[in-house]
Amino acid sequence: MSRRFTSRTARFLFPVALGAGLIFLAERVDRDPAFAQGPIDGQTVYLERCAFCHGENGDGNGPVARYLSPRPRDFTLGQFRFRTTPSGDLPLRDDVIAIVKSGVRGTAMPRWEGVLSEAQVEAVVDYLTTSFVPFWGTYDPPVIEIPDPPRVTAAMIESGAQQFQDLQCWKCHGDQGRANGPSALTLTDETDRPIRPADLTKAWRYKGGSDLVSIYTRFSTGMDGTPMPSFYDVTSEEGRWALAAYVRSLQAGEPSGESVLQAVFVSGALPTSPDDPLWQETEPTSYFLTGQVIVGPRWQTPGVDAVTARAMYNSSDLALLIEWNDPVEDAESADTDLQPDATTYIVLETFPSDAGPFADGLAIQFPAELAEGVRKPYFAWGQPGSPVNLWVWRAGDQAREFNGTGLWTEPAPQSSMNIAATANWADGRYRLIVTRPLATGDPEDIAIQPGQFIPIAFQAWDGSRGEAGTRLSLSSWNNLVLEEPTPITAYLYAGLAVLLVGAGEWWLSRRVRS
Amino acid sequence: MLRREFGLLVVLGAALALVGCGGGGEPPAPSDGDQEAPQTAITGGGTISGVINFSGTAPENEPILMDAEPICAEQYPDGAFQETVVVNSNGTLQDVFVYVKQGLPDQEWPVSSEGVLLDQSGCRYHPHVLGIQSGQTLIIRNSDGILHNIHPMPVNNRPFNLGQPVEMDSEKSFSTPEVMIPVECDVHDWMLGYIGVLSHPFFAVSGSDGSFSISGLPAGDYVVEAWHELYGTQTISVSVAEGGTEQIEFSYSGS
Repeated sequence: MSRRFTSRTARFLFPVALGAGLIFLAERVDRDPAFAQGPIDGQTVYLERCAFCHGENGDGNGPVARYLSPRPRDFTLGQFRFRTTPSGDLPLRDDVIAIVKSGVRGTAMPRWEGVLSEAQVEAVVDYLTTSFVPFWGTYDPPVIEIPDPPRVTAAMIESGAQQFQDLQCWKCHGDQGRANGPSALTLTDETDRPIRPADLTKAWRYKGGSDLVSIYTRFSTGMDGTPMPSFYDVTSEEGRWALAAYVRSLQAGEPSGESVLQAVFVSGALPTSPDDPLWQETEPTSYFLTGQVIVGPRWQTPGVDAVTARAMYNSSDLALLIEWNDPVEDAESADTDLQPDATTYIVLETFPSDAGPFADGLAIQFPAELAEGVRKPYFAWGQPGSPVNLWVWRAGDQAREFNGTGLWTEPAPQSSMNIAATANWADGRYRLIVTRPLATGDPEDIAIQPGQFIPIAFQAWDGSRGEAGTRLSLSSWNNLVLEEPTPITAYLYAGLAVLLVGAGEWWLSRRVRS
Repeated sequence: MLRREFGLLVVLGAALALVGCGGGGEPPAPSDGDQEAPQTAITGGGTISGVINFSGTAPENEPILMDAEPICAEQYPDGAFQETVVVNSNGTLQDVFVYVKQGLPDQEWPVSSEGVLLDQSGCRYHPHVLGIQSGQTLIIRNSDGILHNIHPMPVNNRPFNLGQPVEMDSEKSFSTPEVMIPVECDVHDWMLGYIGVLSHPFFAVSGSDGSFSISGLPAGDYVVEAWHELYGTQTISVSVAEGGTEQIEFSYSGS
């Protein structure tokens, strides 16, 4: 069965691969002499590059549109998110050109700069705007001028925090910006499909850019077609910069690419509360999670796209603190198993018709045993002959240990349970502590020893998004390292080295003088 | 005639504003949807007037869960409900938009410089259904003092989406005739209103007695359409003589 899935990475990175494929296709077309020569025809560029998603008629209904979330823009509605014009006005030609060049982060819209020539971008923008966009060219839209940003100060951020309260941004974005405001779950877009507010703590989720000027622009112009209104008429320029500075200050926990999670040694008891100041001794390390697209249903729009981990150990136990944002606490579940689902792509329109209620959850994965060299089990629940340990915590339930042998087989519960978990959810964020003895005596369990690189991976379920079983988000393999406590001899050697160098220098200087 | 009609609107608007700013008082009276023109006819102008009858049983309007906004919720001690079907005590139907659909001479109709008021009060739109001419100013008022975002969903007009975090007025207009444009507030997903945009001023909305009146019409043969949020549209053909008044009745029925 698993032989069908040899190209694991490609399947795991399906959305990336799709984008890359489009660009590859585009580059091939570029090299096609018949295409490169002669005048640039915007319609040809559109049909080659854009119609697959946006549709031949510009209505956002291309062949793959129903698998994408967010949906491709329907140009015939004439509603554009990323503009420098007031709410309700068409974008400038330059606004459309800018978004075609940059692409839209977190969506299937790729970056076309460097793929299409400047002239091709202009031609395709002129084609799609004049062909599909109502009112295009009938008037000159007014422009919201974006001045040069000021230097951000602590006072600005503080004043921005007050703006955030006064303008009631929290009604959708939540008190801490975690997309969990009272109205967050009732929002719909211009086509009446559900839409969530941006989690302002996640810089990588700002579709229009997470820098100061982009944030300033978004709430000045609003994002037409979404619930995000313009606040230009009710704010001063100073207030807008302050708000932008505050919103920017909320950004945290973006994974840096660092894969090693360092567990710090403590001699005493391990913390049992996430608020324990001992955790400040540890280095938080964040990891991206992506939708599980290896087995059906392929899930491209997961709720949990990042976790932040900390680790600590003492002579007997390991403790992990895992934190992640989830706007809704789902503790009730009709489904507690980890059963694989049918093998299909999910058509986002029809989902979730069969969902729920599902509980939120988090799994920490290790190889069942450390193999020689770089060999590791398959990153998603292991494989036959090379199993993984899954430490699975579900909201409203205790933590349980499973053995996984691949996404195609239901993970098997272990007979002895050696892990303990405590979790709390507050203001859109889970904080989960999982502990386990370093050695359990259970031959099915991985032995955890200091100084080793121990592969570790994470999986998460967001219940209110209908996630359960293999409909989950997951990380690739990373490494957990239990830092070996510095032995007293290390200090001795360091002192000895200093003495030796000093003595050597003294001897040298004596020689030079003589 | 036109000026009087808009004068009435402004008076209504002022009354609404008073109700809205009263704070913690009674919810606004249901008659605020009434845009009926005065009954006195102008010389040479014909009038179409009538009533929207209703028979059968109306569906229960859906209850609104306003817990998230105590300032609004406290205005409805008996609970807040949608205004999908509002049947008057005399058995007539409220909030029906009635307008001349066909038969008008092909000409530009003067647009009043007076604005039409759409008030957000008690986390509801007042009026629930309103008419406006293309190019005429729509005054969007936030009387609640909490965040509303005014977000019309037109097809033929440019949409807009303005955040109003405090008590304030904003002004907008629609360029193109469109019957009807839904208006929503994303912060409060229960808020729903409708705006009918016409190139001419010959429209009315049935009020708390179910009646409507459209006056100042040139003599001619007209098709008059009635639009209701749930029950849809009906049309009646009518000939209006110079200075004459024609009575018509629309009849909707529930289950």
